[in-house]
Amino acid sequence: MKKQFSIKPVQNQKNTVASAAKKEAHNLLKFLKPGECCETMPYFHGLNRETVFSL
Amino acid sequence: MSSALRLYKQELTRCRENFEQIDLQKERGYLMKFTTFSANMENIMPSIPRGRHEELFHELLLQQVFTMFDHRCFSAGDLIKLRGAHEWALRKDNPRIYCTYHFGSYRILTSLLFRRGLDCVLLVGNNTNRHQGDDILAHIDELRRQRNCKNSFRIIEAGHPSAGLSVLRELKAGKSLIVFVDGSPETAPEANETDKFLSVKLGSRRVWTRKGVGYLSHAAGVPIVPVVTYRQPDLSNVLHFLDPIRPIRNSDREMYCQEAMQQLYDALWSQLNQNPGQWEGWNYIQSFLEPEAPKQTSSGKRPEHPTFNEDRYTLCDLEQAPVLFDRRLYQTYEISEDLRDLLLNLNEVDSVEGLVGEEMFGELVEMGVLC
Repeated sequence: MKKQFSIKPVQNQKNTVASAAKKEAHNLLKFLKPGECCETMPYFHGLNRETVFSL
Repeated sequence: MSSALRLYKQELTRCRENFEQIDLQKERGYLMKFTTFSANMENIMPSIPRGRHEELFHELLLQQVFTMFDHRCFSAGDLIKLRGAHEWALRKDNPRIYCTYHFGSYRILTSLLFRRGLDCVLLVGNNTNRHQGDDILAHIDELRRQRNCKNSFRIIEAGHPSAGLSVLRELKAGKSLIVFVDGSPETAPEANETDKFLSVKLGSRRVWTRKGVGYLSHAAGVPIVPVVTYRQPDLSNVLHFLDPIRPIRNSDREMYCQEAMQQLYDALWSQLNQNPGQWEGWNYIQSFLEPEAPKQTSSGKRPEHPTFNEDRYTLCDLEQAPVLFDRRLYQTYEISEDLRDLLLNLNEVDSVEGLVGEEMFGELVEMGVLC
């Protein structure tokens, strides 16, 4: 099969990337999402139950 | 060491241990975020070799986890170390404009000022308020409840048309302002906003910064207090209050704005040199960079044995498509899988031009992908 060589600039808006790269870049790293950090880090159990706490 | 401090450090150590168990490269979004971070660091602080970028990116992610922890843990605000001109800066006699950065555990300054009884106004972007405003207010409400704080606190959205006037009114009423002068992705300049920005030097580049803070300081006659928050290797938080920047009555407002904003960015630069892995701005400062004059990248001659220009481009193999990222211009290109494979294996090909065709070869050389 003939090889396909293509390169297509992605239109930038405010210097953010678009299309595949945009989808990827907009995915916050899972463990940094407030709702999910507790699943990744069992240590943060206190954060789920109380908004704020003291040691 | 007090028991609270010992517990705090113990908790953060456990935090770090859990963080270290995460396989970061498997996290979605890792590659593009790291590539942007690395390009920004290279363009602004080229003295740091690319080989150290990943270690510093991980340090930043860990700092962000610590920051989240500090925001919810009241004791963190009791355990900070104060440096610099903090005695004057924390007096309640007159309003001040506290200018800080997304550095270290950056939310802790707001907590400290409120604990110290200062009437405060926090200026944030509209999105930040939507996503974090409730959390910030919950923290303040809990301080009111637990510490019996009676002082006032208000969030003003920077994007609101009357934000400037509201802040000016609050300053004249004796309230202090807290501003993150290094911006956030949503406060980056738009094409029709050039009159609201000025250009300052940051490391090897110049960046656009909003001049509103300087304007407010000059108009209200209120000094600017630069504050840097950073975390020491022993995990304790330090709040460093730098010397105030005072407006001179009847001086030229534009000139004051320029000088004040440059001083604020000089303070950031100084801190970046000491703790390069603690600034969140590495993730989005490209939106504030002043464009560089185009450089002649190609000599016009077609290379006989082309190589992939790794200094300028990074190949990112995303889930949906391979992407070529221009680290200098922050332009992204979607490329075919065959082109990706070729760029990774150029030395195995007898004639690159023969394979891709004259036109495509010329384009790749012109763009500086091949050199």
